Amino acid sequence: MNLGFIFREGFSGFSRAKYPFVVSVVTIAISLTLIGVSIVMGDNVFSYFRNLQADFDVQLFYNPNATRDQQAAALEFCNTYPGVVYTRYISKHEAIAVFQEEFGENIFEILQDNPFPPSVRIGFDRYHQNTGYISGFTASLEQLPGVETVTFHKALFLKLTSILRILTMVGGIFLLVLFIAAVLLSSNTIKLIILARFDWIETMRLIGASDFTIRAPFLVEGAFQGFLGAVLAMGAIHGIEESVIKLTSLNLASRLIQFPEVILILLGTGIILGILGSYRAVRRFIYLVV
Amino acid sequence: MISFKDVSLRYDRGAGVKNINFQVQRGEFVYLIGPSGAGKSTLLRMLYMDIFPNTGYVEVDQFNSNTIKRRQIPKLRQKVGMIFQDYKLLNDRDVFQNVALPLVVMGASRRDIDRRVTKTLEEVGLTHRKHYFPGELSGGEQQRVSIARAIAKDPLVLLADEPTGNLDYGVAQEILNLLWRVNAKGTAVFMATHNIELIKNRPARTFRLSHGEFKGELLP
Repeated sequence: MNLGFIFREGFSGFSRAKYPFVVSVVTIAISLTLIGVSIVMGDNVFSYFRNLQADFDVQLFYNPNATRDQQAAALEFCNTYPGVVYTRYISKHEAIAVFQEEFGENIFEILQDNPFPPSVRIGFDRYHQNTGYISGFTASLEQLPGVETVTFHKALFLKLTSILRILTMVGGIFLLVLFIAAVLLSSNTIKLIILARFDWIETMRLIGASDFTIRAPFLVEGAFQGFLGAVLAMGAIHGIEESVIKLTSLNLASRLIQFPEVILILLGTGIILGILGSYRAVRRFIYLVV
Repeated sequence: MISFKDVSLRYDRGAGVKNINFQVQRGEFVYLIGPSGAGKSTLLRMLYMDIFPNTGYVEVDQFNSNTIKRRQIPKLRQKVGMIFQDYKLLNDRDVFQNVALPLVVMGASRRDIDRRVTKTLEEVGLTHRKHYFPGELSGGEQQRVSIARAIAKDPLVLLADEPTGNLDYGVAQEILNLLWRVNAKGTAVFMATHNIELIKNRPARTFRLSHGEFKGELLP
């Protein structure tokens, strides 16, 4: 086996069959752009619902007669509870401001007194955001001295959770279908390359090249096409994101081309897509043409 | 070294070969003659195991058509050189690269490739054309490149399927002389041709084939 030969043949595919090579790269680029844009859209919708869900966090209201020690103990309980990512203490005074912000009224103009007890808002990380776990937490919290009540909008939380689950599932299936379609498309364009290199395959077989030596350059070529397709797709996704922001003044919470790991994942997906497409094409088709 | 034992093959569309039996020893020169459609190419394809007999078996060196595994076929073809009427050269590579190809595939070192290709090009008289592309060569020169590619790997046998079919008489004679020179160095040559006039001056053991049947053997 001569790896140098395999890589040389793979990388020289462009010069030996330019048109099918370009078609294949563009096919992969379009597929990856579709996948990337779908991820951006999906992630933004997902973030919206997750933020909405975070608004319905758990809220602890202290008994008006709770001592400072009781308040501190309850707060400590929350802070050390597994899965709690933040706690925000809202004093009686701050509660007035929150009321005014949410309802636009000054409570003193209505009641002449401050009826709000001090409270704590508690948020959970995504791995602990399930009703069973949070219900267990609220039940334990309500047992503590100085705690008047604990609110948790279970029904709304459940609805949002189910929306997120459906979004995840639909998004996942959609991406999988896109990926499979991309592999099939890429595979068909690789078949064009195989046809264009009919002479090479025939000669290689006659001089005693192994199946691996004949197939491997096409896999290398597929990986190279996938890499180029991913680079083109990143440019296209970046352009689309910029255009959406410019045209709609939307503030995209999540943008794809900003993290190195996303760039690596896109490049990796492109390379895998190219290899899978080539593999599918060379597995049988190569022996149907010669 | 080469053995056909009760070999028959019938294609789906008809024709093929019937009950072929013969043996060829190392270093022999053998002609296979017969009109077009006689089954000459079929026999050659069975020798490099591109197709397999329906009955009987073909043996080349230690490879038997009934027992060979698919992954062993490249190993067989590395021991068998092949030349064709249409040369089957890669037009996007120069002469040197075409001749080097089997050695590259066999994993020879660069130094070894340089040495063997240079020597082979000298043998076929194409040293001065080593950087030419096939499209820049005459038919005779292309066939000589094809022969160089086939013998660079030092095969046990050289299979020639109508190697002079596209060439005029004078050039065909040169190619035949070259094949005899290859044979003189120890490589067996098995040449299929329908050009009896051409081989008259270079007699050798000759198998006659007609309508897929063995019609006898002529000795020189």
